[in-house]
Amino acid sequence: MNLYSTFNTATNALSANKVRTALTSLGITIGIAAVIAMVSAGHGAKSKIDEAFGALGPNLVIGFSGSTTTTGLRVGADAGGAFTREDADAIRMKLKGLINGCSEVSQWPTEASTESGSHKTVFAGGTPDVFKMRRWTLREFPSGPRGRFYTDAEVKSEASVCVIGDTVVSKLFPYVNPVGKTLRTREGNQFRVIGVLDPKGTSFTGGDQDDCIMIPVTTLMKRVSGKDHAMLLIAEARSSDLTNVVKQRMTEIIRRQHHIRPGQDDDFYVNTLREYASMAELFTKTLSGLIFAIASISLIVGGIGVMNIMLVSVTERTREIGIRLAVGARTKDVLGQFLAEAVILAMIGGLIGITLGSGIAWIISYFAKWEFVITPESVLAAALTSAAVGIFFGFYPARKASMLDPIECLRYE
Amino acid sequence: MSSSDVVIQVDNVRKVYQSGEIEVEALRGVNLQIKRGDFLAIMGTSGSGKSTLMNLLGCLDRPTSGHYYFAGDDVSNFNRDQLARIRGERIGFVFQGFNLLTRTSAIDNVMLPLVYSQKYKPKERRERAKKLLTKFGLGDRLDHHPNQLSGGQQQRVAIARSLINEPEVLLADEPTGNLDTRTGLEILAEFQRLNREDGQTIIMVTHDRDIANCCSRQVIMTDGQVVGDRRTTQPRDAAAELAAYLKSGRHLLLEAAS
Ligand SMILES: Nc1ncnc2c1ncn2[C@@H]1O[C@H](COP(=O)(O)OP(=O)(O)OP(=O)(O)O)[C@@H](O)[C@H]1O
Ligand SMILES: [Mg+2]
Repeated sequence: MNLYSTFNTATNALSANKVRTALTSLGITIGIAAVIAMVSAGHGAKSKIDEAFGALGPNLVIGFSGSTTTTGLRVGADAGGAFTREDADAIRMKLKGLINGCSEVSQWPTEASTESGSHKTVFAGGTPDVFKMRRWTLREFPSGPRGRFYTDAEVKSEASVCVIGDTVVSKLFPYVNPVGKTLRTREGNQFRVIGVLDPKGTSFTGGDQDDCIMIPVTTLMKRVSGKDHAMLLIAEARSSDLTNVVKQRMTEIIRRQHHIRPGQDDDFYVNTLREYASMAELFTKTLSGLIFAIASISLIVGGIGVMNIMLVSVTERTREIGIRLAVGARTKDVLGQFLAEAVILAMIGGLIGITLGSGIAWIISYFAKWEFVITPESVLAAALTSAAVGIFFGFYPARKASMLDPIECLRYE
Repeated sequence: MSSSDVVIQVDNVRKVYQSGEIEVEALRGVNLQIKRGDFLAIMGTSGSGKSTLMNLLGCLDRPTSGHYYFAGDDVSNFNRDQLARIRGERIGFVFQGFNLLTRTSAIDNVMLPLVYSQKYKPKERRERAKKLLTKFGLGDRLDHHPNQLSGGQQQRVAIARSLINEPEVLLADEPTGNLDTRTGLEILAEFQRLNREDGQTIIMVTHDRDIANCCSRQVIMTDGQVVGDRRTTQPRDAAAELAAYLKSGRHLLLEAAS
């Protein structure tokens, strides 16, 4: 019996029992759908994380205000910031060869307005190093003055200048080149726009990175918030191998700056972005491991379903097997026929699973706002997996059918 | 007569069925020689071992002891697939209960042995099956399923299936057992024509003396042994019987009564 006849016979038998076929392949459908969705979502999440951390600057070392006490309790976080200009300067001086830049950073909510309207956003105060470390670039306009970042001199002089993100531009300056224009805050401060940032999109935590007004940190603290300490201290190591050294040295320097004695708890803690990246990776890995386990179980259950139905089918069709044997079917013909049925059954489940899984992956990617990718490899792997499940679980029933005795089959009622 | 004329040679064949504790000896030393072109009727009381013998001759089963030579080959120790090959390509088997695939059309049923023997291309298979079914008067029923055909038509499909591979021997276990007299006679006339015109070797089990008298040779079995073997002196012509039967109008009475 050739491949075509085998395939034909198998599909005929399966289409004679459509509901049964559909229900049996359901288990495999779920398993394959889970695998496809997981692989796709994993891709999406990973590229999103990579992109997010890449955009942040992968070698960032960040100091946070507040501390983790020996009891694990975090204190001081809401007591205001922990970092000063002097802290940043000390680090910049002492770690010169190890870092590309260092800046204290503070944020403050605000509402800015122009003739075009008003918009709730945040001030982000920092030094020019922030632009470098966070890989911000300036947007070019076809006409009008070219923008720029604020300078160290403007930080020193607490100048009322700002560089604004794309979202702010679209709300406050929808039709004009904002460079050189002025915006006003609720508190009555006026800021001259000196530059516009290229858009970055959402961050991996879901926030809109383009919805901010960047001003010198000194201006923020003296004129807007009234605080004298910044919440964050950001430094960028020169290379990825240096991040841990920078983290350690930064901690030492800040402790000295803050006069913290040995044994005393810090009022800050320092982490590298790399640690967060690996944490995020670990999280997605754990999650995909979990889904993989569910998918495997579902495939096994689906496979057992296939085996069960094939055993039922062999018994039901004993007489048919007898007739086939009587007119010359050989062991391999009967084996092939039932194996083909099991494989097709499993692959129907697999193909529906691929479609369903792609759909789920698309929905996830839509809401998680990441790239939707279904790689041909994963589709091929899913198809092969379902075929393998069919072969594995279909073999025993098929073998059983092929070993039947022709006379006993023909006598079977 | 040369030995190549002998298509079936059965030497002291015994068949023992084991059902639980009890052993049933269905065949107790059967000897039989059948030549090409024979038209053989096997007669005997119920339980005398006719079907058991037919199954062995049809390579559907193996003897417990003794030898069975088919066209010179000792098939008693052939393996599963070798037997399957003989069943598919060299022997045609017609059953009392037709044994057609129920979900399959007449033409696909007839083509089935060709699907396994792989001797012809798919298109040729269809052509041959169509030709054979047309020959048996079913040219307009090719795509009918068995449940859309009468018993006689189903048996003709089964006969077409058994002949599709041009077998050396046609075996039929009570082929008319499930049919009425008229349809039975029609089938018998078909067999006689095959035997006379194509020289088809036919071995047929029957309970009916009149049917046996249409065959050229009659073998009587009792209790697992061959007890009688004779040539029919003047084989009757099934086609003539059929005509006489139709003329007598007995069938009309029967039909009216039922
Ligand atoms: N599978 C089996 N298991 C046990 N005994 C069997 C089996 N098949 C047949 N027999 C026994 O073997 C003997 C011969 O049976 P067989 O079917 O050959 O008789 P038969 O001549 O064909 O009868 P009938 O005319 O009723 O068809 C019977 O006694 C029967 O009970
Ligand atoms: Mg019988």
